[in-house]
Amino acid sequence: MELDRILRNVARPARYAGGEWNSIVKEWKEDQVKVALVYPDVYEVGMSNLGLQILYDLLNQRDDIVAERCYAPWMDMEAEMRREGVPLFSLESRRPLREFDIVGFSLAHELVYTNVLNTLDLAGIPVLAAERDDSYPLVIAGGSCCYNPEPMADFFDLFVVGEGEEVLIELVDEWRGTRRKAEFIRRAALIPGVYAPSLYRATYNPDGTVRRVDPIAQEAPSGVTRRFVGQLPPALVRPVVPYINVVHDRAMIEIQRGCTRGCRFCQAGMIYRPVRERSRAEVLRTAEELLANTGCDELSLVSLSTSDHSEIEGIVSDLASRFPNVDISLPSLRIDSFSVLIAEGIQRHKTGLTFAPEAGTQRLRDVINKGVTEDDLMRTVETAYSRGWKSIKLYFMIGLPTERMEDVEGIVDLAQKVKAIGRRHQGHRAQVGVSVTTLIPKPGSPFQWVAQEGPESIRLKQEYLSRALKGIRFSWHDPESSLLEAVLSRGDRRLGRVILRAWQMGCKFDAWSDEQKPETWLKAFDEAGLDPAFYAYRERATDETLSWDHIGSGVTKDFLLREYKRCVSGRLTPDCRLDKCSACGMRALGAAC
Amino acid sequence: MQRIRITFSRGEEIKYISHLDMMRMWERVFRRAGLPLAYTKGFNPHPRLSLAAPLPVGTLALAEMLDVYLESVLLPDQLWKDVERQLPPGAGISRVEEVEATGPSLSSMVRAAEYEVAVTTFWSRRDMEERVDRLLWTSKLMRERRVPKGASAAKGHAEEARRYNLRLLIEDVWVDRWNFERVLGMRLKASPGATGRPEDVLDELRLAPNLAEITRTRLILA
Repeated sequence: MELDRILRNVARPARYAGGEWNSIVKEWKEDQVKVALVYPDVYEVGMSNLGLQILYDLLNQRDDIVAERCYAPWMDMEAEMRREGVPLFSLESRRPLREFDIVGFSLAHELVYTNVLNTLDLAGIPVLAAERDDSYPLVIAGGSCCYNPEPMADFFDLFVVGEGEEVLIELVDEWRGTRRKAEFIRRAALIPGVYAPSLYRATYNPDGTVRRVDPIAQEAPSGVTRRFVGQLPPALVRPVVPYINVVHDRAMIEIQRGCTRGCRFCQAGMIYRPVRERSRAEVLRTAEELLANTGCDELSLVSLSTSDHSEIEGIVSDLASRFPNVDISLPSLRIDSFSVLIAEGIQRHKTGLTFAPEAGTQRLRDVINKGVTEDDLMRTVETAYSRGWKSIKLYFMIGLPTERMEDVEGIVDLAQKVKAIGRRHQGHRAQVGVSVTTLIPKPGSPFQWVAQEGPESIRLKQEYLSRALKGIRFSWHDPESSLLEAVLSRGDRRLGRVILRAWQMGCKFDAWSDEQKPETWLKAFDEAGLDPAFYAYRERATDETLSWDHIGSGVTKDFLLREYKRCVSGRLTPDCRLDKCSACGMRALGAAC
Repeated sequence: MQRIRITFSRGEEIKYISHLDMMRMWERVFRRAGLPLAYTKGFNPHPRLSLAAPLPVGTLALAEMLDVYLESVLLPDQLWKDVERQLPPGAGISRVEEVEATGPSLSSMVRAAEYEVAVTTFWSRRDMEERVDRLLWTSKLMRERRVPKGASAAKGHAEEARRYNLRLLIEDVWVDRWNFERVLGMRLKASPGATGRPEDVLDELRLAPNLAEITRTRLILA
């Protein structure tokens, strides 16, 4: 009833009410391990995350585990909760997070870091791991940020590196046997894929670079390598169906995990190897169950490169004939006519197609190993417009290594050529959109050594593009949030103090453009005596110890370095599914590829 | 084409969802139940489904109504059984009937709605009755309501104030139970463009709307 009173005063109260279809409310029993799964952003964003839904389902399949969900309350709700002294609670049992054994955060990108601290604080849990005794839950994290966990090392007891399906269960079972935090952390460090930051010490060189990150406990291995499952576990068929409109309000099937195209800027293309497909029969079976269990009328085939699935034609024709009233969406289409024909099979209305040439000139596309030619793009666009599509959106990046102004001009050139083709087939109805993001070099990708381009020249390029792209819709990213993401992506342990201070001074929801406080962040860097430029704008020497060197995705540093060097000379590395093995290191880990 | 009218309740579990969420909830319930839904024609077809009257966020309900159109004919009892299995906690069905497919739309038939409003107050029953009487003897209760302005309504920014006489929207108010629970009854006009809101009546009675629990008990059709 107290909650009821609060919910009257906030926007979209259904964010906090739970009770959604397929949500699992278990009665709490003594012998169960209770896990709170937290996505540290608002409900609408968090509920769109497939990974967390998969883990929720998986954990709850076990009778001896209770898994419940929690999202970051929006500012209005937070104010009410703090005023009324209501601690943050889970959606299922509405119990405070403090009563759980394990609180697990999904860290999908770096701009949620302050929200992690805020979420813990709202739950009455000390944000610093060192200040949490056995009376507090174990606080752990998973997600792609764990490939450089160091900036968040002060706040988490454990990080799970890689795919959580198996290792999370192992962790929970280990916890059942111990339940004493210090002892448990040491034992957990023995589980492959688990990183216990408190068992490591970081030292630094006089120039500010990392000297070493060394284990200081016997149990801690010198390095932690990601876990991955050999075969995709059965797909999720009973996802929680939200009442309110969330960001991705549709049923999702992961048809494929991993990508071997080898784009050098792409962290996902490295950290999710090897490629594992779900068979055509399984996709159809899954779609049937999923739609029957959710009542959704939209289905998204999730993968990093949908057109690369070896049975995609069959999958699409199955789905289109079996579910005529369901909208099927295909993210990440490859640039070729084949993809257009695939899309034609399922798009009921030819609303729009999106392709990502990523760079404006052949030279630069070779640098990033995009492996797409201008001819490819033009043929693809020709097919699309001639078959009735009217709107095409192109994704590019700026700030790529070796980029020159002529590469940026190349973006305009390509967009105009695309528009001309559109005009020929669709007349004035033809539309072209160009979306340009700024490269943020990510750990675990071949660009992990690269300097991020500074805001002045990025802004000049953006201004040039917005002037030059006449008659073309143009959207871009704000350089300020790119800087913060760049710093946090490749930061070290010392950033913990900065994150803590920034949060104390009011930073949260940093991913929301209206909430960004760049001056506050700069102040926090100042107080800690650290320079954001050192982390973002500095090209790292290839023999430098990187703060995440002790964390591996299975793709070796040797391979990344090889790719980095090939990038500078503009040499392509072919997709190993079509050509010879590029020796990325996954085979040595037992990947069946 | 078959037109089916469903009378349903909305409990605590789903009282915080909006009108549009409610529409989507029913669409998904019907799809899960495998009903042969009839779709609208046009560029973006969606199931033909209409709710009698939007239910404000936070309001409970005992007997809301919706019409759904089907491509092929089903027995109401069979449909009831199929749909019931797919209802989320907090939703319940109390009646399923076939109605004339070509009749007027459900929302255009709603004339008034009855409410039970549990309030928090120390007033005695007599004091409360006096206040209610005084309210009903008044002929003018001018109020202002912020409404979205013109074409920008969809963006939700621009608003304008509209003055209206609340008294004209009140058909009746009465003191219902007044023991450990203190409940007022209200019957308010409910037609598009002229809908009385229980919160406004509470405000006129000097009762705190945010301490009240409102249940819509009945929709009155023309």
